[in-house]
Amino acid sequence: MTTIDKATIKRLPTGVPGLDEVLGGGLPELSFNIIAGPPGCGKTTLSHQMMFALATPERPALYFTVLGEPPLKMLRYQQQFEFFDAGKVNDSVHFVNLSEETATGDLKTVLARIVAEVERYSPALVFVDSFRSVVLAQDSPKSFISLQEFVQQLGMMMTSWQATTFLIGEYFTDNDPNPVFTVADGLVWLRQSTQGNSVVRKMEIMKMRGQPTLSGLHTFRIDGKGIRVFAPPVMADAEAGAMVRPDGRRLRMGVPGLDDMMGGGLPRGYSLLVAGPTGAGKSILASAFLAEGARNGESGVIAAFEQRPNRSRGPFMAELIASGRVGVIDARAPGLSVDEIATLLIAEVRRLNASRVVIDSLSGFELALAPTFRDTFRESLSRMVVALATTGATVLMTSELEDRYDDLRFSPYGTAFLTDAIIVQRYIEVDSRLLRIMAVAKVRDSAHSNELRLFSIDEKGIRIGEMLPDYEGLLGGRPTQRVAAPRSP
Amino acid sequence: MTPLRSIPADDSDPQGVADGAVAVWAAIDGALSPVIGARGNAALYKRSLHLARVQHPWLAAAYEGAVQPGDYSALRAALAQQTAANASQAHEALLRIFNDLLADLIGRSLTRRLLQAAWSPNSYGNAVQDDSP
Repeated sequence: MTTIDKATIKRLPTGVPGLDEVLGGGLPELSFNIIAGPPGCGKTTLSHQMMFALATPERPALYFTVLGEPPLKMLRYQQQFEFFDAGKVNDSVHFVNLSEETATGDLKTVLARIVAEVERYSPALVFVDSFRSVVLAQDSPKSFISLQEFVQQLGMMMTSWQATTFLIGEYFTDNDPNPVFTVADGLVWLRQSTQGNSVVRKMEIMKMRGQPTLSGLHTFRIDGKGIRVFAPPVMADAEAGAMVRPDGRRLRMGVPGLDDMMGGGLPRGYSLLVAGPTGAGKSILASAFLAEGARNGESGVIAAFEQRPNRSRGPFMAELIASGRVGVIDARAPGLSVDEIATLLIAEVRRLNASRVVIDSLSGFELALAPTFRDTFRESLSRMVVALATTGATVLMTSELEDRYDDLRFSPYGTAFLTDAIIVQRYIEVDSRLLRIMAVAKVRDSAHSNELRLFSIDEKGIRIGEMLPDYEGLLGGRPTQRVAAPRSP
Repeated sequence: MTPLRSIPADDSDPQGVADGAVAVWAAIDGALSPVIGARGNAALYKRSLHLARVQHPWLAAAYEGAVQPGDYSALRAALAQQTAANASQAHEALLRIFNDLLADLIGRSLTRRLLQAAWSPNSYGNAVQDDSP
């Protein structure tokens, strides 16, 4: 059998950022789909966004409104979104209200009207919103056909009329396997997950015939531009070897002396964890890293979860951000997921062709996450670091270190293993002063210094100083002066 | 499908004005009801009558008589009892109120878009509208 004889399924780009990836390459043309979920979860918005993206005068869309939300209200609210193009209404987008037909309680009447309108407009896209009312109508004793027959006939008719169809429904529940689902080619489920006071929108493609969809729940956000879906960052490339391999080139850290401690700088494509207690200078180190890149004509991206990225980082950073050489990921939205930050980071890295990425800090990142994602923070973070590596960018992450001196750990998440290099910072008490020390704990596949070096911070940034050879127990926080051993003659 | 402007304001025949007005309302009904539902359109029409009768109290009969969606016979009867000039003026006011009401709800641009179908296919862009505040 030759492949030429196979039917080709064209995949339509939905116009919803991230949705095509989650669907496994776009929306299969002529498919019969159900968009389900509780009220307010974004079903109508999703439908409108796809409709306005896909409809053209040659491929018009028909949007049937059935009882439920009054069409006037729907139009009033939907036009607030950027995708709503009033110029397309009555041209490539046609709204048809079916409330009179539904009120008869006979699904056959509803179907007949749908047929009549489909014949009139020959649409390439058909939406029926909301399907709940249709379902309610089936309970009426006046109905001459059952819901299942209605859906089957509708599905058959739409496919032969070459229309991609969406039934939008809100009554469906997870544990009620509705017969309608069997007929559908695609089943998109929208939810709002609540934990504490945090509500997160999630989307699941429960079914999409003939497509390798991305399984699982994917977070999405609705703003003035409409829906944006955050597909998990792609890791397959990394496993297939497409990851940008470190090429031996090293990036300068922007702190005098630190490059030498690291064996000549941070190898390109590496991820570096800077761990230290609060106020030790992690963010300053991160800013120095980005500033050094900018001095070499490289651009960077920063996701800052603690400080205001363009204020507290000094005038030079503020200027880099203002001039667009450092992109900023807005991490202030409530209910964040790691996938969302990963998507935004990777998109920004690609947009700026950035070679340096800073995440400051992992502790703030975890706090910014919706509670529902905190349990899986480690796993998602690991996925994100790998995905960032596929862009070829070098990543610096900071991590708050608890002021505990009885055990030496680099991050509370066990994230240390994810990173290729680690710099640790500490406070020590010497002569009634709080001093800072820094050490390079790890640089994968590279020689590096094992020195514990004093450092200070002044208006020019971090200055690395000497070792304290006469002291021991530095990592315990309270070093003691070594008793000078009598020199052997 | 007769646009308002084709109704001569100085027509000495109030019945003619009433017929012309009802034709306009039927055209609006034809354009809007498929989109927002016959009941949605009827509700807007009735609200417009309610607002217009402040200036034209005799429209009360039309208001009371607007029961069935798409039935403009009460309006026709009320207009026909007035002088042609009066009827014309009230009809214009009613149209303006209706247009503003719809524009408040769904914006001017979409209102224009939807009502375009109410006017003759050859008069795109010439729909009866009053965009003044």
